[in-house]
Amino acid sequence: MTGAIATPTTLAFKRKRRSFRFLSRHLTIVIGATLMTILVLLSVCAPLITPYDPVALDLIHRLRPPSASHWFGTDNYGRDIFSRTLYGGRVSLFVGISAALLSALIGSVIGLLAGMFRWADAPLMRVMDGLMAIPAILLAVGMMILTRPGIPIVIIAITIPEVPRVARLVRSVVLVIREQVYVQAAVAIGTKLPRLLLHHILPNALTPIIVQVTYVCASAVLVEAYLGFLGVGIPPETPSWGNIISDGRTYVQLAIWIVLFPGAFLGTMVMAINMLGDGVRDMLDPRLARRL
Amino acid sequence: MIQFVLRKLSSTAIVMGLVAVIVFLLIHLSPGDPAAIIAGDQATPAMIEQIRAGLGLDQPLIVQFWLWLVRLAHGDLGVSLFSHVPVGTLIMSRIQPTVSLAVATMLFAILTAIPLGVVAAWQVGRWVDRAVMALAIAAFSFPIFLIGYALVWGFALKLRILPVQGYTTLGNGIVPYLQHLVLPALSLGLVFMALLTRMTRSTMIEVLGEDYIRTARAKGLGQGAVLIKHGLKNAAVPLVTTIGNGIALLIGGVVVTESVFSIPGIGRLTIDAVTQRDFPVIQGIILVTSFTYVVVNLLVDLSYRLFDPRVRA
Repeated sequence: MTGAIATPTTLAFKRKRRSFRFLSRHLTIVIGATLMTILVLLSVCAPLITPYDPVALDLIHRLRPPSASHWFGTDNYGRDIFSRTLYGGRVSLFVGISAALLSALIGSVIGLLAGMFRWADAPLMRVMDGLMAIPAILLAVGMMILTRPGIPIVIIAITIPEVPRVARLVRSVVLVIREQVYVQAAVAIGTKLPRLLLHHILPNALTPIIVQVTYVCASAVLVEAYLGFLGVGIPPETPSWGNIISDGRTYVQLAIWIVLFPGAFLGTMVMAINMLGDGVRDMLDPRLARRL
Repeated sequence: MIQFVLRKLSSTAIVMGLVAVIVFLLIHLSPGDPAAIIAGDQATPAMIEQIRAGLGLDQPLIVQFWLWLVRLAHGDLGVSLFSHVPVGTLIMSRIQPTVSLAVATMLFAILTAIPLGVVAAWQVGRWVDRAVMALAIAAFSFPIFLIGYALVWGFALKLRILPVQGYTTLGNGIVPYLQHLVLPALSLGLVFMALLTRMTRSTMIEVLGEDYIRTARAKGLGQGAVLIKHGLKNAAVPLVTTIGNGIALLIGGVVVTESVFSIPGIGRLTIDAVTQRDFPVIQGIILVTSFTYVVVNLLVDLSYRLFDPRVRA
């Protein structure tokens, strides 16, 4: 009788203990995911939380330090930095995630082609080497000054320098997978190429791609801020972390809070994404640690 | 050996050629009319035409490319649209502060990252390791300008022990020269320190698992000798690669750092060119920095042969 009651509780206890062990062993994932969830929620729910319109001017209350009515202070037009930071997060995250997904897509296609077909390998990878040699921020700056600013063009300018990193990784993974017995078996029974790529090769290359994409996302959010800082980012009327910081640059000795708060949000976000990437990498494939 | 060097040189030449093509195509692949965008919103059609002719955009593409390559081969990077000074001259006049900053940054990063990484690998899993890794991940997540402004606020505005911004040449004395470099090198160097620490740690963990390390310990060698002579020496190749690859990131960071600290280097030149949309200057800077990156990495590749007898085979 007692045994019958004890068993489920012991099981539940064991389960609880196992999940606790997971949490303590993968502390980086837990911290990264928590920070990221908080920041994403704050950005997504910006219209519900923020007390002010992020673009509303209030010239009487300009350059005010953080206070009860303006938690993060105001900028040179009296705009509320708290509201702007949360709204800015939406734009910056959108840009970061789009650039990460786009570079993953383009990079994977190039990497697959280079890894699978010997004739494509040398030309594609030399072009990738050429792109890699150009400093990412300068390449993005070079593209931005020739076009009218807009969110899509910023995404493209951030994506292109990141493509070679994904392509190189996918290629090196494909070169290994290609030689595996199960792939050769699939070839031997006459599997068609598209099926071979989609069902046999891509799924096994997915883990490193996912990890790489988190790093690209972190880097994309940073580059958006750098472009904004240099004055060639998203059009100035849209608040993004980069733009808010760019506006506050001139007032840095007078009103450090304009730069400080969006910068801190940005840094925390990038750190959360990096931690998540590190954690997932260590959990899924410890051997990857050296290659990324 | 000679064959190896020749093969490396030819692949480097190919990559440089491709960089040149990419940089050339930049202006042609951009949507819209680059001449109109450079001229700005108030430009008259005549001004736009003048800029178009100045950029050579009124000629057929293949002719433009040929002329561009010929000029490039003569070391001619074009002329600024606004000051009409040759781009090569502009870059040369700004190179000294940038090189000073880059060297100071690299020295700081290497001198801090390698000890930190070695200690973290030695103490892997313990609190020292966790602390170093936490520092590293934070250091490359926060934007350079934020770290820069925080350092300026603390060391220059509050403590008043270092200058807020600016640059002085070595001619004005070594102490002011170094004083002006400390904060910029620190802000930019933290990113590299983080990158290099992670690389040192992961490479050292791998090396420390090798049989020869166990042998060295078994024959009673001290901890220090095992870590440095047997460990670090064998971890050198990936570390030198990371340092070489880091140059591209360094150059991007220099632009931002020079802006934060008002250092009159290549970064400052880039920012001024950006505000004026002076495309030939940007194009020249991209070319010079990319070629620097390619050459540095060629030297890194060649140096493996000196560092690591195993590669020589």
